[in-house]
Parts: sequence; C-alpha cells; structure tokens
Amino acid sequence: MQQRNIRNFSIIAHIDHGKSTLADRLLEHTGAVSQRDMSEQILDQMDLERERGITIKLQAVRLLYQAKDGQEYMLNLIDTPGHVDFTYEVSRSLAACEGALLVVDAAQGIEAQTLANVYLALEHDLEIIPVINKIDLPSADVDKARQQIEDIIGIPADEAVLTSAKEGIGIIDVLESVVQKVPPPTGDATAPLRALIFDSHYDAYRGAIAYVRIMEGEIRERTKIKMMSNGKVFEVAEIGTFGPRMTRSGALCAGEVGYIVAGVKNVKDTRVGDTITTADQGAVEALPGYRRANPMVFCGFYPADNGEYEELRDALDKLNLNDGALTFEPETSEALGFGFRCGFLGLLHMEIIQERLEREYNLSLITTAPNVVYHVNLTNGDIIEIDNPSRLPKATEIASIEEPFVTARVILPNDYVGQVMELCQGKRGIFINMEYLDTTRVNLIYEIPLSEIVFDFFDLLKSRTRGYASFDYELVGYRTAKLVKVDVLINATIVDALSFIAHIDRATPRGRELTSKLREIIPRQMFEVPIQAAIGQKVIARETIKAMRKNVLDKCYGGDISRKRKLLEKQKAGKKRMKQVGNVEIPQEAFMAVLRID
Amino acid sequence: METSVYIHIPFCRAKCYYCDFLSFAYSATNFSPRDYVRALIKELSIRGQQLSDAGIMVSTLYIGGGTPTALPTVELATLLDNCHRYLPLSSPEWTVEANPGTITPELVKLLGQAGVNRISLGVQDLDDHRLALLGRLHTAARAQQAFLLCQDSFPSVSLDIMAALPGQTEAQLLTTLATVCDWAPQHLSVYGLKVEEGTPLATQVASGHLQLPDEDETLAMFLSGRQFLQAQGYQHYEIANFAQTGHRSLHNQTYWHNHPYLGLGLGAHSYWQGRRLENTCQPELYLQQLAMGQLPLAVSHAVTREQEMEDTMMLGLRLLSGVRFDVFQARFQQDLRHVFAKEIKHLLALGAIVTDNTAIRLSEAGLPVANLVFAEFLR
Repeated sequence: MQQRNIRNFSIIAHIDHGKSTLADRLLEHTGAVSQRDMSEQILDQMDLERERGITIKLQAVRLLYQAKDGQEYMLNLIDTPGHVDFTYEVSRSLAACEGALLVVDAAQGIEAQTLANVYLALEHDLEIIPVINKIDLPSADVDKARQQIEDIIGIPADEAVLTSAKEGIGIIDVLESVVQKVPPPTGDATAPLRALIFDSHYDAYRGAIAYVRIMEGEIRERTKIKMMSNGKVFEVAEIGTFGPRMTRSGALCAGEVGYIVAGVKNVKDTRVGDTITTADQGAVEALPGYRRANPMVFCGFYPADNGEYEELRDALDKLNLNDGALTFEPETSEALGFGFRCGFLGLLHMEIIQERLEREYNLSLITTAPNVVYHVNLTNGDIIEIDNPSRLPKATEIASIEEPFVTARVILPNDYVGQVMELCQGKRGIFINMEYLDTTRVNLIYEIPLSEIVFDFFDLLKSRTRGYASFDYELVGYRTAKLVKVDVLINATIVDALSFIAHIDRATPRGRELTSKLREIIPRQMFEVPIQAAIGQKVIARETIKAMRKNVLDKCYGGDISRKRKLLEKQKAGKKRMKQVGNVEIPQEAFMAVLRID
Repeated sequence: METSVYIHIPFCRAKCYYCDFLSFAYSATNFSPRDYVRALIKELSIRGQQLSDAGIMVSTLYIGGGTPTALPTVELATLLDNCHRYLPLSSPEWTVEANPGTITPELVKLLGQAGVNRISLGVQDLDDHRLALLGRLHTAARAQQAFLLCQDSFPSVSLDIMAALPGQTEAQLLTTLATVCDWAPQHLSVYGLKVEEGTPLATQVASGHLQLPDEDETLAMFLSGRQFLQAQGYQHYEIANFAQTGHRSLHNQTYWHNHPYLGLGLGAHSYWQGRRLENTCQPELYLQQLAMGQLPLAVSHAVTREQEMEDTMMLGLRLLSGVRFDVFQARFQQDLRHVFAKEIKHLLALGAIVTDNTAIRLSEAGLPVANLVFAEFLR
C-alpha cells in the first residue's frame, strides 16, 4: 500500500482509562475481528495481564479502514505497555509511530503515567489526538477534561474526540481523526533497510520473532539481515503483518509494521530498540535510541524445596526466552541454599515473574526482599557493582557507596499534598518542583533514592492518598550516600538472606522494626531464640522469641490416632515450608519481612 | 493371639459445651438407641465371628462414647449380653465410661454382673460453677456419690480430671486433685481442656465471655499437678495418665504401643490387618449397611511400613517408658536408632529426648512440648 494511506499510531492512557476497550472497538469496527471471536480485550493476551488489567507485552495489529473520503487506509495500532517498569519499551513503540491517541477518562482526568508517556510522545514529535473517554459516566466532566489537556499538556483540545468505548460511541470519529490528523510515514523505500524492533516474542517452533516498523527501505523473505547492536546475521524465513493474527505477506516496505521470522534462537538477539538492516549493503547508522534493558531491581529466588533447583533453572530459562529484560545468575545462600539472583526492570516485573513461576511452573519459591544495584568505590580504587546486600565488602574496604536516584512524578489531589511531601521527605526525597494542574490537582516532582521506592513507597503513597495519587518514575543517575549494611542474626547466626543496605540514619529504626517483625513471624521453638540486627559488630536492635512452653496435655485414644497424625502432619507441613538456620526453623515470609516494615 | 475391642455409644443426655466427639443428645436427634444397639449387635456378630475364626481372643474391651451409661437400661443390658455372646473374651480388662450423673446402684449392679471390671468416670472438676460452665450435668457431690458406688463394685476406677479450665488457677486444680486423691481411685486421667472449633465453648472463648489460663499458667498446672500426683503414689505412665501399681489401662496401652484393635459402632476407628479403618459417621448409613449384613466402613487405607514406624514413635513416645529398641527391632527388623538417626540427633541436641541402652523417651524438657517431638518423627 502507498505510504500516504498508511497510519501508524499508538494509544496512551492510564490504567483503567479504557485503552484496551477502545482498542477492541477499533478492531471490531474495522472488521479485524468479528464480534463473535472477540474475547474481551484482544490485545492483552496473557492471563496475568487480563487479571491485573494492565498491558505487559506489546502487541500490534493492522486495521484496514474504508474512510469517509472513499479511500482505504492501513492503520497500524501499536500497543504500549502501561506501567512505569516498561518506560523504555513504551518509548520504542512510540518511536515506531507518527501519532498517538491520548485517552483521558472524562471523570478522572490526567494521571501521572499518562503525562509521562505524553512527554515521551512529544519527544518523538508524534501528532497527539486527545480522546475523552467514558463520556457516558454520570460523573463525566468533558469541559474539565478538555481544560486539563490544554493546561497541562498544552495541546488544543477543542477538537478532542468524545467517546465511550464501552458503549461504542465515537469510534468512527476516532478512526477518521487518525486518518486525517496522523501524518503518513515518510521513510524512503529505496534507502538501505532500517527496521526498528519495538517488541519480540519467542515461539517454540520458529524461534524469536521480531515485531518491527520499517523506517526506511524494504525487506523480503530469504534476505540476509543483520542486528545492528551485535552484528549477528540471520536469514529471513517469513515476513508478515498482524491482522491481528500473524498473516504472511512476503515483504514489508518503509512505513509498514509487521513481523520477521529469521530462525533467531534467542530473544536477546531481537532486543527492543535494536535496528535491523540487510547484511549486504546495509545501513551505516542505526536508528537512534537503542539501549539495553538494564535491570534496576534484584532479588533472590530460591526453591522452597531444595530439590526443585533444576526445575527453577529450567523455568527461568523458558521465561527468559520471551523476556530479554529478565536476568538471572546462580547464587548460594547459607540460609536458603542454592537459588538465583534475578534482575528486573522494576517491582511489577518482579512480581509478574514470581507469579508466573509459581502459577505456570508450579514452583514454590522463597523470595528475598528486592534491592537495587549499588556502585561501591573501594579504598583500593576499584569500583564494583553490588546487587546483593550480603556481598557488600567490609566497611573498612569501602571508600564510598553510590545508589540510584529517580525522578518521581506524583499527580494527586491538593488535599493530600502535605502528607505526600512528608512521605517523600521521609524517603530521603529532594523536592524539585510542584505545580497546580488545575484548581484541585497537583503535579509534585521529587528526586528519591530508588531503594526507597522499591522498599514500600508505592504502598504508602496509596494509603496516604486513599488511592487518588498516580505515580511514575525515571532513573536520573547514581549519587553518593551514607549507606551501611545491616545484618540480622538469629540465634547468633547471621542469616545472609536477611541482610539489607540502608541509609545510616535509617539503619537503627529499620533494624528494630525488622527484628520485631521477625519475632512475630518466626514461630516459637523448643528453646529461646535471640534475634539481633547489627552493623558490623555493633548490635543495634535485639528481640527474643520465648521458648515454646507447652504443646501437649491432651488425651489420645483410639479414634484420635488418625486425627492426631493429621494434626501433626499439618504442623510438619508448615515446617517443611520453613528453612532451617542452625536449629531454628524460619518461615518463608520472614525473608520478605524487611519489606513490611514502615 | 489377643486383641482389643472398642465399642462406641454415640448418645448423651446433653452435649457438653466443649465436646466435638461423635455423640447425639437425645433431645436433639430422632436416632433411636434401640435401632442403634440392634445394628451394633449385628456388627459385633460379624467381627466376633472373624475373631473366633482367626483364633484371636479379646483381652481388653472398652465401651466408650458419648455416654454408654446414658443408654436405656434395657439396651445397655442387651449390649452387654451380646458382648458375651459374640466376642471371644478371655477374662478381659473391661472398661465402661460413665458420667457421674448417670450412676445408680442398679446400673452398677448391672455392669458388675456382666463382668465389667473397670469404670472410667468423667468427673472433670469438683467446682460446681465451672462444671456448669462446661455444660456438665452433675455436681461435685454427685461425682463423689458416684465414685463411692463404683469403688465398692469394681476393682479399678479411673477418674477423668480436666485442667486449664476457664478461670481455673493452679491452686484450684491442686485442691481438686487433693480431694480426688483422698478418694484414692486406682487411675487418673488428667488432661488440658482443648477448645475445639465449632463448639459452644469456642464461641464463648472467641467472644471473650470465657477466659482460659495462659500458656505459662497451663504449664504450671501440668507440672505441679504431676508432681502432686506422683507424691501421692501415682505413677505418671503416659502424658495424660496416672496409675497406682497394677492399674495402668491395658486397653489404652494397645493404642500407644501401636497394636491392632477393632472399633465398633458409629464413627469408630480400627487398626486392623495393617489398615486404618473408619466406620461411617452417618447414622442412617450405619443402620442400612448393617441391615444388609455389611461392615459400615467409610475409610480404609493401608498403613505403609514407613507410616507404621512413624506411628510407633508418635504413639510410643507418649508413654513415659518410651520406645524400647528391642521391641522396635523385633517388630521391624531394623534399629530405630538408624531409621530415625537424624531426628534423634536433632532432638537430643535440643534436649527434648533422652536415650539409654534400652529405649528412647521424652525428657523432662520434652514432655510439655511433646507434640513438637512427635512431629519430628513424621516425614
């Protein structure tokens, strides 16, 4: 199809503002999917995504639309993941588009995540079409939503499309706006091939499949292609488009969106943001913006049953095929045995992987508290990266420690500004800016250590604003801070998996809270168990679990034997899910307890 | 060959507030004791025939409940007659459980003439206020009368005494025990009140109407009660049981030695030919099955050799004499010190058990936390 009849666009929206429903309606209206075949929200294919109502993996779909001007258009809708962990993926999918629908909930207005993604879209010079959705709600306030779009984002909103995706209102208007306002792609079809990978997935039979937007040139089957980030060469076996199922087309031209199958065995060779060119006479310069996905949050995954180590490794291998951002390396803990230190883009990413391991692979896991990567400057001049607190060198060998900082953007009703500022200060935040979005809502910007965000920031933010705040963050860099490692000793033995790194001013209160939490979580044993928190040799907190005094004194007669056995087995089964450190049985949740202290 | 037989009578005059045993208050059921005893006799005849055929004699017989003595006298008499008729008895230890409120001279005479030689009286406490709180029908005075009646007619009388009752103090328990010791029963079962889910007591505790002694108080009651009874000449031979010389319960030792036994009646459990069996708990089903001449089994599963070893430890360690190495060896042709080497090492390190050349047993420290010790032996 001619470039002038192609439109590439994405949808920017906050969770729950109706992105998936709108996408579904667009599919229906263009006949890409018959209503009968619709399972709700086609674009979110993973069960987990549907359950959580968020998009994790990107999807793309081609819509053929007969516009009111009588011409047929190819509209490529490129979906973006809706979570702060996946900001980079969002920026790549936006880079593949010329326009974006900005969906704003008529009742709720703009949220932080939307704003962050709008800024990304503006950086890519995208044409932004405001869509005010959920106009059918009694609480809808279209004028206010319009005003917000103009005040906050600074784009005219008088022509905003009014829709109710749920009720099917305004869908044609959306399609017409895309045709009329989103510019057609302009890439030179005769130039050397440059295709931007905006997503990929692993297929057990065909290997890693790259989702691409052809920026320049064209690509055909049996062409030898090169990944520009690592120079690896593959031969194209199949090319096609998304309709929404993968449909073979044999070739893709500048401006088009589709998939490439090229016998790529590892999803890491189809990295999001990478540029594909031809092996012969290829482009010299890659498309801008490629960045390896760097894990920001780490934690230990250990099989609750040590016998499941191999199964855990296989499961991680399989997940990794589809998720190049997940990293894992074997590690050993004295307390937990053999496991893996895993790296994630963020907390949600971590939770998703953890859930998938437990749900899809039926593994029972012990997860250690998540932490960030520290840069440690040693006294001998070396610089090392630490992703596991227990590996921090001795204090005498450390010159300084740097930790990652993020810019946090919180949008909230002005009633809660005081509480949230207090929260941010308490999390060692540095105030950057505050602006009123309208008479009732505020955009608050702080720089905060990522470790504090990982810790419990999000939960506290939600509880302090009754869920009315939205939040987004972005890494700004590493900064030196006075950080110390706190060890936890249970019955005089250091439990490595419980060590954590904290700011020196926070170490003692956190040590106290953790020991007190552990005292509640660890069941009483036959003997008294001291729990201590220590910095080096110095004990900063101490609690004692009293010995179990009595657990007996009942009758046991004939009929009771099976029942008694069942009770004891239950007691025993509880213990099986515990880890033995020295003589002490520690339940799994103890290893996450560090997260639940305030 | 000898074995033990238990017969369950699932009827009471009223349900005690703490009870979650399988038993029906007459006022709350249409289930007829007459139909029940008829079915029970059918079961007795089937099992009795099997025992006779196999040449196995019944050396202990225990009729429990519920309240066996709450049966209409004519039904109880029929049952006792039929025990003689169908079971191959070899001058057994024959126990009947009784509620003090049901004991009359006529009943004592009936039981004595039938050959019952041991009575287990559910005295529980000697404080009328607390007895009422538990939903017991009798008073302290009635309990004493019942005991005196039984003492003259039976060579062995056992009293059940409960500890850790709502509002009870250590001193009060000791007063109860002192009074009871003055009566000089041959056997005492002393055990802590256990609040079972779904009972009226559980509701009252949950709502805060009743307060139970805390763990330390309960432990103190257990330890000082034990000390007191030992000073009075009772041997503490099982976690909850005390006896004068020659009066340990043979029937219950069958359970604790993990020996086979047959349980008859509604919901009764058996350990028979290497299987754990459970009779149905549903009255209609129980009657129907037996009317058709079938055993009313609801559950039957084989006990593996490993489970048998574990059960032998879990039950045997309840006895203060512990589990003897030679007895274990003779039964399994394996040394228990090897089979449970890891567990024994762990428990010895904790000081929860002691061993010598002959046996392994709970230590003084292990006794109050025996459940933790038992659980170690389950794999």
